[in-house]
Amino acid sequence: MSQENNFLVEESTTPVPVVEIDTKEHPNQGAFIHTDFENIVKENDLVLVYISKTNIRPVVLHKNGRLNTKYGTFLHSEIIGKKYGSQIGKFLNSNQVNRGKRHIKKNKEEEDANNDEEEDEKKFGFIHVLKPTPELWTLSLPHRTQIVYTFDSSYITERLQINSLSNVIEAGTGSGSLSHQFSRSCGKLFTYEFHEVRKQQAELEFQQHGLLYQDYLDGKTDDKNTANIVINHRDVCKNGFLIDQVENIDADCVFLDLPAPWEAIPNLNKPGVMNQHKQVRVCCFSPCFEQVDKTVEALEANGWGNIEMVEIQGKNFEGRKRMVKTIDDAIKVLCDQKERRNMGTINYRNYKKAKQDLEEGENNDGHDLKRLKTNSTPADEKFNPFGKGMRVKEGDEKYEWSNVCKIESEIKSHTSYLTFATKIFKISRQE
Amino acid sequence: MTINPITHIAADKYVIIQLPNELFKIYNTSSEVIGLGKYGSFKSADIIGYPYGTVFDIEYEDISPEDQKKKKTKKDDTPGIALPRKDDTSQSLEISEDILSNSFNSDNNQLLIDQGSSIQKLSNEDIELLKEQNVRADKLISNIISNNGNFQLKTKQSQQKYLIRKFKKFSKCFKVERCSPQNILKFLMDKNDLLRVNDISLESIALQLNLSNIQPNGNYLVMDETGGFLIYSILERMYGGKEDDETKNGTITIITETEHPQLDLLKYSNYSDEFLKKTIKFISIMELLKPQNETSIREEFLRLNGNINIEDLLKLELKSPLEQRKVNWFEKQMKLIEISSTVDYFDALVVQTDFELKGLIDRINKYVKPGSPIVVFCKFREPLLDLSNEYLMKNLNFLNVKILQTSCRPYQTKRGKIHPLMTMKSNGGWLLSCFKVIVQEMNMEESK
Repeated sequence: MSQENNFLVEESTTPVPVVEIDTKEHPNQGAFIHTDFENIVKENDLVLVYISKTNIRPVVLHKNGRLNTKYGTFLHSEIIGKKYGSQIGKFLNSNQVNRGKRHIKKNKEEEDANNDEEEDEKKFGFIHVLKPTPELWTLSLPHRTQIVYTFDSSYITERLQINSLSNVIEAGTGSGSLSHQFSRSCGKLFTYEFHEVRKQQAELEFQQHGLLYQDYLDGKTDDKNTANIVINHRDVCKNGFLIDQVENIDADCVFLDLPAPWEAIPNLNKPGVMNQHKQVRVCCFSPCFEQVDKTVEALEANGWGNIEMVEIQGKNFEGRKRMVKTIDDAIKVLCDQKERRNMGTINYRNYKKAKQDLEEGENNDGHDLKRLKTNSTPADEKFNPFGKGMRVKEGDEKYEWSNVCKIESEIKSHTSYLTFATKIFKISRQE
Repeated sequence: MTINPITHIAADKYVIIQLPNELFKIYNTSSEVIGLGKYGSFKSADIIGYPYGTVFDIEYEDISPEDQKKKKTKKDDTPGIALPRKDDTSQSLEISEDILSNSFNSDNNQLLIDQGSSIQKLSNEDIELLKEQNVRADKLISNIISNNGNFQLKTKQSQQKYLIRKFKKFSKCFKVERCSPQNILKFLMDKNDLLRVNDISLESIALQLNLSNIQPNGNYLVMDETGGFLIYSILERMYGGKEDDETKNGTITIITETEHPQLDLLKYSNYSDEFLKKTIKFISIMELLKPQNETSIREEFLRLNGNINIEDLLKLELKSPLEQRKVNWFEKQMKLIEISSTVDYFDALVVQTDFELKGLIDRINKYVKPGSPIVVFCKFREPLLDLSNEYLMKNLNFLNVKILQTSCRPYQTKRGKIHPLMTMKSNGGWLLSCFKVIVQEMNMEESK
């Protein structure tokens, strides 16, 4: 059975970002733990550069490094020494601003173009430098596989009751998104990946982020709470969970993100894998119903109880503004139009009369005619409460707005079914 | 082996007991006898030492009818013996299907006629008598079935439903669970008391904790309107119930609305008072936002204590209890000043409150480190929307403002009968998350 997840074909909507980390370099340890009171970005720190909602980039800062964004090039030295959370901005030159706008401009009236240029002068492009968190990492990480998003992962963490004492088993590692979140919350994380290249990539990533338990053993870091991931290259369905690094895993929680979790469930029974004396929990993450059915069958056969399958539906919203358009204003607009049309009709009649008069050579020098011909109300004098025909920015202070919530245009309507179960292997009494 | 109070039932702790009717109740193991109402009672010593999650059956000693008459004691007065189900690792409060296999069942309900209660040959008194005689639940139920004229005409599915109903009524088993935040939430849900925790759902609190990036060594600024539930959930992520871990030293600073914070749910957390004192700091809204300074505190001290000089008291090596209290008061005030004057300090701001959010966030966001998350929970969406549109989005100090909603859809998970539950909790609340950032000072010269 291939461990590749065949069930998910959908592509992530977030573009795969370019990771600007040289595969061999090692940033400062503790990238994911809270900063000290100083809160200063240092050289060789791994930071997340927030460019836009859909573009968050992990970067290791070097003295001579450069970062190219759509807002131009930022020098790493501009970022080093600033506080975390700082905005780093620069005024864009007209070349950068007008890129892609030129062809639009050509078709516009000159007057309009002049306005634009005035606006351009003020264009300010900026990025923010943020301390990595597992949740931001989930948005920025290089996708090697389908990943588990925060809506699901937070529920899994809570439901499995993962806390700083728990030993957690995760199979498979995948892109390591969930591993980061588990690692933050748990005591020790044992993660398995059957795909060798993916395992190596993940291992390197954990090492760069200071999360690898081996580094603690080797004395490279002394933070046991953070350096807590043990990663293995393994097909847990065939070869089980026991590993060389530790004698007993004594796991409290298991998370199985495998195409066939039912093949791995019997392997949990081997002594040394699960903590035998307390209540342990499992969660299986499967996108298809048929998988859930087989999983439930295997869980029941292996003595797991309290089996419950759930589905998580998370939605992102953003605050937006909706223009307040009153009916009275609409009536006013129509009245205004009607009045102007009537005026026009009268004008036209006068104009025709004046023209006739002129042709007939009566006492007219054509001045009246010109006045009548051009007599139309200029655009800015018309009653226009809703900014019709103009480019109105959302929230423009000239208009009245109400607050509305807009759901993201495409929602993840189904990620996976989460099947939870609990078990106590040996019920014995402590004295 | 000593009892590990985090994984095993220990003495003098709060535990949650799940009854056959799936209701949750909180008990303290310090009481000698735990009474479960109609499900019987047992000695708490019987359950101590077993792992959390163990299912127990209450059994009563067989008392012959004559003995019972002699003693004239009612069964309710003597607690039964709680026996753990040692071979049942699945810990489900369920009955075996043996009863079903013994009886014949019908393919459909064609022959079923509703005859009301006359169909049951056992009278209420008979059943009460059987219960008096301490007949085991499964025997009692099979007795009831064999005297029910209609039972065999029911379909298998309906027989099962009938059995589950009878089981909930007569069974004497219960499951002991730890008072984890999750179980407390279940308990409140059963009591229909979710209002107490602002209607928050498990998935919402989970998301709030994740977005707040809770770590064992972080310092968090929290506003809790949930009677301690939020704080307990944060503590659980940070410490997991273990108090004496030297590598973990995170703290929670709680902004309170009242002088004495109301955190009654926190008592179920089983943390010791010393630990809570060390880990949780309280500061009232007044002390935080209308802080005193050292001179005004000294003045207040003088005003309250006549002409006692605080410097003299501090220098004393041996203090009387009264003097010690005065010194404590002074030191506490000084600490409060320190908190209220230390900006850019906390690793996250976690808020659940009824206050108007704009004004609140505006005034307390300075205490959070730039680059740290601010996560606000609210029962309703509109206050968050207002906060987002009228304050956060107009202010360049906040980045990535998002309003989130998450809901969990539970399924009936029995093979062959999997379907979403008919009813579920509909309002689990809303979350707003953003990051506090620093705006670069505009330097027009630099750009040229």
